[in-house]
Amino acid sequence: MALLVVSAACGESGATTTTAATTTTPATVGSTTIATTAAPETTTTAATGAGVTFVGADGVATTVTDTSRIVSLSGDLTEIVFELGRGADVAGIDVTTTYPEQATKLPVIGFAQQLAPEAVLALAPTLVLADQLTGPPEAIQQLRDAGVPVVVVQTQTTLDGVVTKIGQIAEILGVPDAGTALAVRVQGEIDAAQAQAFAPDAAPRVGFVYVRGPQTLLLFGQGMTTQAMIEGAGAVDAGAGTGVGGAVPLTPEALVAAAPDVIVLPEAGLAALGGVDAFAAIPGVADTPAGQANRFLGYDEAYFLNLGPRTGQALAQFVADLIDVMQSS
Amino acid sequence: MPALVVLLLTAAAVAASVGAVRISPSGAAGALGRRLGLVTGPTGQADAVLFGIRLPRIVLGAVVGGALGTAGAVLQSVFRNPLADPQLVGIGPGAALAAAAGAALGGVGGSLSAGVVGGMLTALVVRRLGRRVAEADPTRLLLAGIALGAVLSAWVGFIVFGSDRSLVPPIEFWLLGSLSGSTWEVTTTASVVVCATALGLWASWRRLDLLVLGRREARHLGVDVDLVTTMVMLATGAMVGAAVGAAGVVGFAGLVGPHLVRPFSGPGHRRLIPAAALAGATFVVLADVVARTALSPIEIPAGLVTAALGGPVLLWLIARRNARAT
Repeated sequence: MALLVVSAACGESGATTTTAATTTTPATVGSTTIATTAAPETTTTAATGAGVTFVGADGVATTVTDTSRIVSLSGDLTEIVFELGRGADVAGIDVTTTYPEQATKLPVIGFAQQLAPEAVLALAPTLVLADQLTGPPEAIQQLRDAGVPVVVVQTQTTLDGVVTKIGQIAEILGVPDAGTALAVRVQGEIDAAQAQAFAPDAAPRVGFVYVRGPQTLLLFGQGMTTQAMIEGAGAVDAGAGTGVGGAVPLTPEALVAAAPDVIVLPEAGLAALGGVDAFAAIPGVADTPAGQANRFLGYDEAYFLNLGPRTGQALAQFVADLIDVMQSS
Repeated sequence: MPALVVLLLTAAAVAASVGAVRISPSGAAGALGRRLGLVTGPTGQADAVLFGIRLPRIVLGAVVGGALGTAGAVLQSVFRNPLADPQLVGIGPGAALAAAAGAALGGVGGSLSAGVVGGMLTALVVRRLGRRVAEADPTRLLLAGIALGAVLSAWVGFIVFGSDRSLVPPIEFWLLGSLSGSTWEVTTTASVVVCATALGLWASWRRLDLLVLGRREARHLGVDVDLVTTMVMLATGAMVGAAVGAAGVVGFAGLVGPHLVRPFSGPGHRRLIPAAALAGATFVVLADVVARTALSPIEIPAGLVTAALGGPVLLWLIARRNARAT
């Protein structure tokens, strides 16, 4: 019965999971090998690395020699760069960067998916960090033609992908040691959170609905980062479970068919819509188990959706909140 | 005419000198000198920004505007209708439909070639439409074109939402028009098609002059009206199709270009066609400067700017006709 909208204040997680990291050794970090093959002389945090060559997800090999002015084109990449201690070298961000707070004061280059090359070049970057969602490809090519190294990092959609991504960014920035340390910590947090996860026979159905005002309501499913979070918590992704691929416009019938026990929403979008009551009044919502029992969870968008340094904390909080709402009704 | 050339070059110079990256006049001069082989030296970022980003965009803007200006002038003559505009009569949306399908199948190259074919086919449809709706009431051609455009644009939407987003540009690119996709590859291909068809139309100035007198009059003066009209519509469709395949449906340049210059050039096509092309080109190049810089670093579609500036021209034309009629 209880209506619980959890405020996920950035950084201050009530979870009791952060100590697990120290007991994990580097060799057992997830099932993923972290790339620590960079040359020894690049292990310092000097502004200029010694020329790391990185083959991006687009198959382009980029040699990075100067990381003193970084433009990050994705919020999760920005978080990782800051967490690796290189925040001072970030010269610009895209609109998806909302954390950490220092980053949000930097120049914004617009939407990474509609990249305007000149806006990036105006910041005189020595390195552009992009992912596979960055585009159009012509704009990336124009940046490269202008002599700016653009590294396209693989877009990760699984929990295992988090440490892969951290390892790759650390390699590109020439800070493999910091990368290993961060990966170990994050993987430890993820493992600890998953230790609390639901058993398969008790798994609730959880749906993520992306809200940005009354005209933008999307049900997330297969292949979205929310699937990794929901399944990581031991729950069933109600969207992916009913055949939703990617993000589809929310229709009452699709939501009822998904039959979520709990609906997760982005906080800011929910506020723009007019709060939980406004959401619950949307046709279809009341006919789901979540709507009938008033089980809604709200999180900061970047905190919940970005697979990055805070994913372990977010997952721990998510698991605890899910247990809470399922028990209280 | 020389004045229009100077205007276009000035607009191009303005467009080349503004943008998010600041390039000093001396830096630009150095880059230009290096490109022309006048001075030697290492190329820097100024070269990449000027010749890799801004110049293809300026040239594409001029080509798109030139194509629409020419097409507008020609359509206004063929239909003897001052309100005819390649986008408003439906040729642009038809080209966009084909170009979007082409993009889904073959990326940027597919978009351009399919756009040309789609433009030509739609031009033939529009020709039949134009003959059926009476010449007596010019606004009816516009209404038919708007209806046709609405249907075709809807199908553009079906293609965009149903295909791979990495291949097909978003819906606002097609409906509003934008020069943000300009690379030398796109610009060169579009330029070849537009220049060839524009020269062909310009060479037909005598026949176009006779066509304006009316179908019967032109026939009496020895013009094979049907053949000429078909050829002119095909050329116009190809030209508009190339422009739309490269930049989406940029609106109103086909109205603004011809109407801006007609008081000076007169109705004769030998002067009207190049003048309308130059005016259309200048209009789109300047509109794109606004599109790039107004909300920097975010770019807005150039078609928003051309519509904001060109829409009132259409209203003025309609109001003027009404005033004359009463």
